[in-house]
Amino acid sequence: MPEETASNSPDDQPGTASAPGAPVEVPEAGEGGSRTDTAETRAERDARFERDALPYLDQLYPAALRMTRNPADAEDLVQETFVKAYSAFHQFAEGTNLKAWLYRILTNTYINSYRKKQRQPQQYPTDQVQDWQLYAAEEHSSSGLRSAEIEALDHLPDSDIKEALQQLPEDFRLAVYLADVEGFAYKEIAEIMGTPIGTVMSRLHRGRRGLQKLLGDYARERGFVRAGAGEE
Amino acid sequence: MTDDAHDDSTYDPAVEINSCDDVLSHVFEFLDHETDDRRRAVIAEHLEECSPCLRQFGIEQEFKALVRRRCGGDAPPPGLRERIKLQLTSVSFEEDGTQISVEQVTIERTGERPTA
Repeated sequence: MPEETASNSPDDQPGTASAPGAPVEVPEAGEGGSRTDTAETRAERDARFERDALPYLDQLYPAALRMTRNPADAEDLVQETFVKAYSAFHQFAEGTNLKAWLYRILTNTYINSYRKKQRQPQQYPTDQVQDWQLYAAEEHSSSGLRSAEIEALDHLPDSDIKEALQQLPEDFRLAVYLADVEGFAYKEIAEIMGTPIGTVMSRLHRGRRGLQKLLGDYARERGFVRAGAGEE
Repeated sequence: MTDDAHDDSTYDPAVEINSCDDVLSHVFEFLDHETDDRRRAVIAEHLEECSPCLRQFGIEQEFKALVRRRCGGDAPPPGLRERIKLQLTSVSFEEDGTQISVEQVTIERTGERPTA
């Protein structure tokens, strides 16, 4: 049972039910905004949640899918995220960044509840790219892809590209996803992931280079890049 | 974390840009619109005069676009939005009672979990 959320009354301070050292489960709303919990009725808040927060389902679901790597866990994760967001919505100040707030709840929920109990940890044969492989990728392609390679990548099916992303270690995968798919700024990614901006930049750099290496290999395996092609 | 060695000290806006290597080392910040105006101008000026660097920036930009196009947008399963709304209604009811409990039967399909 989701015991840590079960005990989490809306009046709790955020994160008090989390394990020691775990990221804050539901971040405080920005200080600049005004808290609306006294001025707003339950019905008004419900309407506001449905109008403002629920539409992010379409964005949170694919993000959850990239995190959990399977649809059933992604659905559970998104549901749990919305329940937590709803329970804490009286703390959320209008005018602050709702999308980033929801992503932070999603990320923390994933880290605290899902990462350790992945349903199918061995779903992918080479489950995660090891650190040394990423370093090797950086050595190999510190200057990035070549023209012939980027053209070849366009021929790869979506399934290859998603699978390659999912092979990245999760910190790198998430940084790349938040930056490239969601278009978050470094500062927002830093807040969502709870890391300094320098760490975000490092993860982005290594994540993108690692992804390029993997996709370059896929394209060669599928014969989209001839051996030796692209040497300029 | 293996990457925590790269802390904020690696970001120094005052770093001089004198060579193609310097320019290429900032390609991601540039494409992510995270460079300050001064550095952005220096890089843009270099790109106007250096076609190898410009080509590499173009490739990285295409790569970002590829990831954006291909890695998101999976449609949520049919009915998920309604299931969430229903679940929030029950959360709401429980909060109105004397005992608040966010027991989520509907998400409990993941089998046993270790008790922390």
